[in-house]
Amino acid sequence: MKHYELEISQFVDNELPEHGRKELFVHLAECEECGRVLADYMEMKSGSRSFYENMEYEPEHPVNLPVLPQRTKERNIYQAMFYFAAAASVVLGLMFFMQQSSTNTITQKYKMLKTEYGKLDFNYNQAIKEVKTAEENYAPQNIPNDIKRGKEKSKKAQAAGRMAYKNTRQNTTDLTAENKDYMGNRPQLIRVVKVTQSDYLTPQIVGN
Amino acid sequence: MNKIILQNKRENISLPELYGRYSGDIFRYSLSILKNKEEAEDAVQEVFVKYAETESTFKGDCSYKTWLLVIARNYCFNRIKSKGHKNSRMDDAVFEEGVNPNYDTLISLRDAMLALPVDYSELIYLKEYEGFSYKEIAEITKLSPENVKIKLFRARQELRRILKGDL
Repeated sequence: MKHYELEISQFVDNELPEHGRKELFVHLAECEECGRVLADYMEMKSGSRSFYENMEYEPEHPVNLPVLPQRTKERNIYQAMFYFAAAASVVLGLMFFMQQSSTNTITQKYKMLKTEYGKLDFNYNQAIKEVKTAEENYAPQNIPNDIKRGKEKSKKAQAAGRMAYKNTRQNTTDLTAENKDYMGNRPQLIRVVKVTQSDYLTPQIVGN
Repeated sequence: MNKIILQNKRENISLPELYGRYSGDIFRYSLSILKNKEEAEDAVQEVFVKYAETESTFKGDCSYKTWLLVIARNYCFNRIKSKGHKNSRMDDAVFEEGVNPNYDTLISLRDAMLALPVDYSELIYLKEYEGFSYKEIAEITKLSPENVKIKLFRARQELRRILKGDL
């Protein structure tokens, strides 16, 4: 048969749940041993209490109690000021730190961009060199024939154009010279007078 | 027994008032551990000195009494450790005053308390005299409530065994 000593101890302590009590009471009705345990535990409980109640605290020597520090109003004010100053220092420190962080961020970005620019500049110079090298190594025989013929035609056309221009200039110069000669040796110009009908109708008194 | 209602730190209590309220309880608790009247009286003094030193650190998350009992417990167990005896027997001088020898129960109980280990006598005091719940005892002794329940049961078993004459 299972005994309920632990449950009895809890019951004596007033810590046994309701469902446990019902079960315990049912068991106590059947088990004498557990009944004796319960009686002993109850007797021990009252005896222990009496035992300690009889112990009075009466020290032989007077007790010197320590003095607690008095919190004056001024001390409280100073304490409040101290906490305020500490909080302000923390806030200022955080702001300074954040500013430093942002400055450092900008500096870091600048350095990063500078590095990238350096790389791009290097690549650009390399590309220029490659182009120059390619141009130096340029071999006309490698050019396709169409382009080659076109270039030759272009050269001829250019030459013809230059010649034509030259001739034109010469002709123009010659013409200009002839024109000058003509203009110098030309006969006296007859003054052209505009004759109107009235001139015919009105006798002309000419100094005759 | 006048059970003092536990208060938390919302109410500011002066040190003399604390002493007046709880010195007896501290004494009896220390006695249940140290089992020596003079040492228990010293413990009371030390507990209130320690309280004065650490008063500013008290957060008010437990009652004054609980806090004082915790200080007392720590002091008493450290003292036992430094003295080198764990299961010290209670001094007979304790029983010179206030014990009626006509009650056989008390005489038998005295013998049984003498033989009871410190861990058990401490729990018997906190439960039977102070009337703390398992949870409150756990707060003082830093045990779990389940552990307190089991230990109290074993303390009663041991006390019963001793009372029956199986010393």
